[in-house]
Amino acid sequence: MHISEGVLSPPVLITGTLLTAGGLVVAVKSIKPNEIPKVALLTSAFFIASLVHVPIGLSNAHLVLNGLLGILLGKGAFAAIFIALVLQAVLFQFGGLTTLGVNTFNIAVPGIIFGVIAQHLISVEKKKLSFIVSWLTGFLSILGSGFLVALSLWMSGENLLLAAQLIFSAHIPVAIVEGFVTATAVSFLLKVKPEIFRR
Amino acid sequence: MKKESFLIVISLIALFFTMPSFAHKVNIFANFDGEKIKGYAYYSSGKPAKNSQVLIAMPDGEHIDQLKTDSNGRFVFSPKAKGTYKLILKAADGHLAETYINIKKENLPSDKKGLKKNNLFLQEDLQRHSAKCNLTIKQLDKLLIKRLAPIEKQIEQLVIAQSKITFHDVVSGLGYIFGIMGIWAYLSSKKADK
Repeated sequence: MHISEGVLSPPVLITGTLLTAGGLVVAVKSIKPNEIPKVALLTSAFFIASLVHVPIGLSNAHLVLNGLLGILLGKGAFAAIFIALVLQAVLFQFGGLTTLGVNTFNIAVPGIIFGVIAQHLISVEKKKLSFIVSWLTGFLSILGSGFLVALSLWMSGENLLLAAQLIFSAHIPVAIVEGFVTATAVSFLLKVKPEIFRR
Repeated sequence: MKKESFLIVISLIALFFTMPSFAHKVNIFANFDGEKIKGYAYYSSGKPAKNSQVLIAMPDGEHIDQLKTDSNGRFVFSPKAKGTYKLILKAADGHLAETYINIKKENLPSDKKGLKKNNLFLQEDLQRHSAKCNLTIKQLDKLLIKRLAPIEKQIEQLVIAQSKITFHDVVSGLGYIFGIMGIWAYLSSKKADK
């Protein structure tokens, strides 16, 4: 998910940076003061999730949690993911500072799109539906990000088919696990803190 | 309140379980032993990057050689000329790592002048220490490579250990997040006061 420095072409980097800057402004405006602790908690969760290796298949991929952030924060997920990615780049050398814009966009946008759709479907009354919807959100957010990563590489002149193949084969197992993590987290929160879903 | 503290405890426990885990980042380590450039490609976990593509940019800046790592993540390359070689480990999914190897002319095995120079130096040295030695330079070179191999291995392990993510990194990251969010909350509370 984290594209390294020196892989992408300048137009892709600039486009990613501008899109992320715009997204950040929208995100910061959408977060109400009383939501800041929630954002902080989920930023931490996202920051740590990248260290959880999914030991299925040949892949060396990790959890992302962009779907969960999309469900719980909506547009605000953009800010949370950006802060966590800055820290991952500085402390873990994941990705890089120049690719920050592209990486934030690639990870945040699918999570927010599927998360906002899921927000309308998740409710305390329909527990089964909520579980399925949040599983799909986790699953699709990862695949969506994988698709955007492959697209960024293709626009920088890499072989689209090869990149897409590699990314999807590495991320389908992660997407399945991520689906269950997201669904479990949502079901748990519906039980103990349902007011977190009211927006 | 009970529920919240339960959640915090669970998250802290989860944090400890994530520590020996893997992460998605590639690294490359290489050194020149006088004959060959030997390298190792690995993930931040130290796990070898098998069958990965390694590009070697020649010192002339034009030619690029392509190698593949073996099933242990290792590769070997014999440099022909002096200069700085750029080694790039490239995974097709957007991960990349690079390193440089600088080779001086007198260190190349094909450089007769360099060998002679080293030889003269060695003979002087031997005379000065009045030691008896029947080794040729080539034999000595081979012996040194053999003797230095364990040290090379140790340096490699040290470099790999350095690139691993430590508990320290994780905790400082969490500290930053709470700090940034704290400042944000403070600023927005000031705004709300006005």
